[in-house]
Amino acid sequence: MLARQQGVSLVELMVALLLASVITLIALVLLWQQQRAWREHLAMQQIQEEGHLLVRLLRDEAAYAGAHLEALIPPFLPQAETHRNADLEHSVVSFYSQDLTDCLGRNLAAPEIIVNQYYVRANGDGVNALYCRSLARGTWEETELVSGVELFQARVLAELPEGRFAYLAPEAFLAEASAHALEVLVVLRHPQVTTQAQGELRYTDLWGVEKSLDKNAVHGRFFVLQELFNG
Amino acid sequence: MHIASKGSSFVEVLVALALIMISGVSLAVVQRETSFIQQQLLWRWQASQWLDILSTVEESTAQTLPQAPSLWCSETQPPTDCSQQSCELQSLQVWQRQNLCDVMHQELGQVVVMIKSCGSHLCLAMANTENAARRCELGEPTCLMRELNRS
Repeated sequence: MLARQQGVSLVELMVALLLASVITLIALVLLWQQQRAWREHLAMQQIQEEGHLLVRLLRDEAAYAGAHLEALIPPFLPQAETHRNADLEHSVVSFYSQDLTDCLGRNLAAPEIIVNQYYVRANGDGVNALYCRSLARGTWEETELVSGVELFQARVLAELPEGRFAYLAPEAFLAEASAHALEVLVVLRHPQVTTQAQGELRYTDLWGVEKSLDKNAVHGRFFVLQELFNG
Repeated sequence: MHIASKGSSFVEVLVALALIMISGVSLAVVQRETSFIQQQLLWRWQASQWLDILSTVEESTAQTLPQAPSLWCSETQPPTDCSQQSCELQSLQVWQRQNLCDVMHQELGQVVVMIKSCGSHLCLAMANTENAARRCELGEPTCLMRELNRS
């Protein structure tokens, strides 16, 4: 007996293809959304980790600045010669200490006076990055710490000669003042990853000036407050 | 022998579609929950950094121990802006505290920080509401607490 095989009709085939396409499309959209969310999450995690490391680095630097130095040299002044490419829209902070290691991790044979200078300049990709350069063994060497720096701003809580207190920018620090604490605000923006959020995010800088940041940027703001060693 | 080729019934198609829909909805719910947990983790991470800063200030500036739980941030703005002009030490401390609160609120949104006793120590508690901060205990997932080291 001949078995009659019945095929699918064109309409059935079209409906099946349409359904399969819709389901595939939905699955792809979900996958794409999941991937984007995961990419944003990784970018945010990266920013947070980099910011946290930076906060720890600057806190340690400020806490140790001035250690073993004679009183004639304050922890971060006089301002050392600034890097010629430093972006002066941002702060330049130079820490002085007597140590065996500089911010580049160079080990010295014996303790010597080290200047670690932090500043922002464009890196090779044209993105603003925070650099540290160090004057040790008589030569300056620099290293990039983190890229995507929107703001690097510092201020020093100083006791003025008349006994009052004021916040001063590091570059405007008075030689006769006594430094008590250092505050730094760092805003990092991921150089590659963006989100779909629209609009602007407003925040105020250390001097009360309102600034804005694109909401579609994956960013992080980090605040450092550290009492100075010989304040 | 006759082999009858039978298509799916309407009910079977409906069940298949329902299963696909349920899978999609479940995936969306998982995605949303994951995102929520990520946000919570990020918030706790940032809040923890802020508690470090606030406890450093509290340990170095506070002179007297509060008798009852009190809010770390004040509602009123200090009269002098010490970022623009020089201040006496006392007004500087008041301004610095409020300034830190402002920066923290910009970063974390509306949070309440409270100084309260935890056992024989003093602690800083941070939560979304004053009640949650008041009820906060060490190790609770809905709030954060930091013990203050005082000499």
